Amino acid sequence: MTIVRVVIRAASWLVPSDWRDEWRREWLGEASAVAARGRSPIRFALGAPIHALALRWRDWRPASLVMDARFAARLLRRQPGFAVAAVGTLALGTAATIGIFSVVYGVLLKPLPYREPDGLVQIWEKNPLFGWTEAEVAPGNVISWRERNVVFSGIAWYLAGPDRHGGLADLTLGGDQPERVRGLHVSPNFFDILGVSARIGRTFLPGEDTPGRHRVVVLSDGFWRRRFGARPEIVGATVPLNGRPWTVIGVMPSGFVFDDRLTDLWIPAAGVADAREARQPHILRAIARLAPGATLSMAQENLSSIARDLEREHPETNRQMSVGIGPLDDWLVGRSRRPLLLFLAAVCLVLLIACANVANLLMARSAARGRELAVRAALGASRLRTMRQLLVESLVIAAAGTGIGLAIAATAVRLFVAYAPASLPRVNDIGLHPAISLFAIALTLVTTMLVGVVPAWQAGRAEPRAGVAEGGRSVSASGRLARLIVAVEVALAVVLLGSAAITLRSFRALVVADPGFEVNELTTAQIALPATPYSERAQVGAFYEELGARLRASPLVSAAGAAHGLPVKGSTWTGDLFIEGRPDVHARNLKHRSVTSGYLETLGLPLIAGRTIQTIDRLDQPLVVVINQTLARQFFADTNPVGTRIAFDPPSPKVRWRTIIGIVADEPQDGPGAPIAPLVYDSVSQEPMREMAVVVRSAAPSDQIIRLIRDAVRSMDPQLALAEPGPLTARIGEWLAPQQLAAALATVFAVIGLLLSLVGIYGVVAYAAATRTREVGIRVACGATRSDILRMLMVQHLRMASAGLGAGVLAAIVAADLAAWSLYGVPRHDVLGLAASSTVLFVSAVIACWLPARRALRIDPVAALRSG
Amino acid sequence: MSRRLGLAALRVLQALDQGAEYGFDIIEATGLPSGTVYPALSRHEEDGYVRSSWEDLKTAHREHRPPRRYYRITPEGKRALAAALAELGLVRGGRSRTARAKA
Repeated sequence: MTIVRVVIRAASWLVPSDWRDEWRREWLGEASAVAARGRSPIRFALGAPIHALALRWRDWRPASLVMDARFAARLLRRQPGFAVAAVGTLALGTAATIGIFSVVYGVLLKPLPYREPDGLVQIWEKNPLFGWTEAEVAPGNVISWRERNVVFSGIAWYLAGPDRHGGLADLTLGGDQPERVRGLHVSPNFFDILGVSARIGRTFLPGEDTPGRHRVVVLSDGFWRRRFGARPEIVGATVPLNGRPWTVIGVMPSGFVFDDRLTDLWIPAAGVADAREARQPHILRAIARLAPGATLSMAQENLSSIARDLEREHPETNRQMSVGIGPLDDWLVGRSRRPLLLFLAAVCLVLLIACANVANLLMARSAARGRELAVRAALGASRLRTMRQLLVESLVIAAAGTGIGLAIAATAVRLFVAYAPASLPRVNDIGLHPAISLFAIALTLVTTMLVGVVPAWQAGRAEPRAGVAEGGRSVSASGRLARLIVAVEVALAVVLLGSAAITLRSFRALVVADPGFEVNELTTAQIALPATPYSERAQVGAFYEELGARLRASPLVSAAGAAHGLPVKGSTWTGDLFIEGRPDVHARNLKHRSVTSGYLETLGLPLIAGRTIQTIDRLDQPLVVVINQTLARQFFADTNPVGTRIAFDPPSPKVRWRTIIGIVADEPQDGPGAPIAPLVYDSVSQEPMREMAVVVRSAAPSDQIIRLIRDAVRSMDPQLALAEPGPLTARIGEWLAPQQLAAALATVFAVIGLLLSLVGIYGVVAYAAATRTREVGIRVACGATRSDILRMLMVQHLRMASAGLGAGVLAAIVAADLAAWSLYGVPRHDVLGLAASSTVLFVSAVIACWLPARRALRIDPVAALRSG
Repeated sequence: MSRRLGLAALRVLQALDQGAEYGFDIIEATGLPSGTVYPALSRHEEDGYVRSSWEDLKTAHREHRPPRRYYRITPEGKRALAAALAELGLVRGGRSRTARAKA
């Protein structure tokens, strides 16, 4: 019988406490009867745990939870002030969290919209000789990989652009209204590798990249709708592209995006497949699909072995050339991962502060409900039962807060998508997907636990007798716990404020970063000359020189010129650097920029020595270059380089030497605030570039100057269109948009965090003041002064807030380390920013403590003592 | 609130209807294990089909055994039993028969 008793007694702990004693009595009694009748009491007792579980489940089944939820909703309706404060606070926190999670999900987590995206990889070249880590690939090399690999079901390529992006070609779509459009050159199997078919018509066929057969074009859905009014009959028709007829063969489905959402159309990368031996230049990006059963590491091994073979076969071009490979989604969104996850961490802090606030509110409320809870306990409600009731109340608050948060987030996400910086990948994939609803549900549960567990635990400890006897005042929320929660809130708020301060200061440093010239009054527009009729090199230089001259002839224009790439953020080509008479010098990745006469003068870059590029620097004249100050400092520290000759190829009898004719001050090349590298300015007549940015300096309104540029271009060639015309300041604003967004979001989160933590401090002090009325009365009656009372009410809380402040400063220093890579022009440990944030927070905390404490001073001691 | 009775719950109710009074008595009458009988009793009690009361302590002492908890079927329980049996086709001419009796 001993075992039987142990089993029954153990099982009885599963039984709700109000039935436990009776239950135990019945089972033990029956067990002895069973034994008395000669039956197995052990077999009988095995049913006890089952019965106990059934009773426990009955207590937790949905119907009784619904009853609890109804009761919770009734309570909330009775206390609208509390309901608004708790639900509103959580709505703020969850809205921010859901909003940022939607962005994280769309950009980082949602599978790429291609067939079996896990099998898609990006392949790049690496070479320690040149410091290449994620370099573009050479046509000859990618063709060798395609022929020799055993791990891919296919390899495709597209033309490389700046950074990790594809190179969008600026094309002119002719017709009544010539328009600049953006097209990506791709291999014919590009869409097959991605596993996406055309919505109308077809994609490219094998061999359609053969010169002569290559004039076929696939349109994006957006461009098809915008330009061709979604007319299906456009498929099969010809359109004038860069002055030649091209056949539209298909339209991609809406939502199909690769790399850049601004792509209007795709055209075959003509001639690449025939360039079997072109192992430089490195101009392509390659994607591939893993064969069934192949893994990333197998692919890496296979490609590395092919690269070693190629190095042996082509030592002159492939020395130390190796291959890198990684998942395509990592390639496309990898750079956004860290900032997005940091933002997610920041909103989680906001949510934690919100939860801490609501937890404090709930503790205060359960203290005020002490009598009710004590009566429940006296009537037999178990501790678990009381905790469950309070947790269900938290669940109702959390669900309401998350529901409203979801609605706010839906609007915020729509706004975000509309105004997202162009550099953020996969913007089209951002939205409130079904997965976000799951996240919201999970968030509700987590929030419930965060806000509900501590108050429920506190309330569960209520002693029924004490509570009933003393009118419910003994069941008080622990003041110490409330102050601890406030300290945590303050710490989190310091981290948010400190991060916002450093992000704002970094953004401001970028905005005021001196580009070295006056950016106001500059208007830019981009032009691309088609190969037909501009087939001769001399034609290109002549066109841009003539355009510059026509613009300068206008009385509105004070200076005008053109360059390959926009000022401040020009796309440039790179080459090697050799200096005549100095065989020891061989620099790589030297940046180039082709410019017309007048370009450097238009920017107003100070001339340090010599002269700038002039109209006389034509193709038939000696080759000349102007160098920037950084190049001069790096390679000609002690000498005047003007007159020295340099080359971009190794010295040989055939090499084309170019004479340095001048040095100009540095112009930023990779956007505001980016480090400045050595740069060479070539004459566009001697190094022609079809795609150039016209730059005009004028005090006249930008619109007027754009009209002027458009008229000048049309007067020279009516088929040409302008791309992205506008003031340079607007372009700079676009480049700074990600930093601006970061600063704005960090500020919003910090302000929400600050306000919530202040409300938290206020609430705790107000509650403490309200519940200590009697004590204040006694102290005043015993002769305590106003300042004694103020000190009593404020010091405890301010001490905890200060502890939180200290912990927060340490945490903010760690947080700054995590975000250091994104900062510009501020020290990693921004003492000033942290000091300012701490001061703001401390002063606000003092005010938040003082306001409710001051109210306690108005207490009439006699009334307070009588009411107690 | 009436609910659909499972076979085990039906047999427990039927045993009570036929005179079984306490836990082990019902186990003996139905042949069901204790882990089935007691949860069914609790459920029936919650639904109002069964009422329970503790035996007088003196009676138990007199018989040298622990006091028993007695269960009785309520009129509502009888109605639910009849309806469930009718649904199963086990009622003829207003008389109910147990599944065992029919077999």
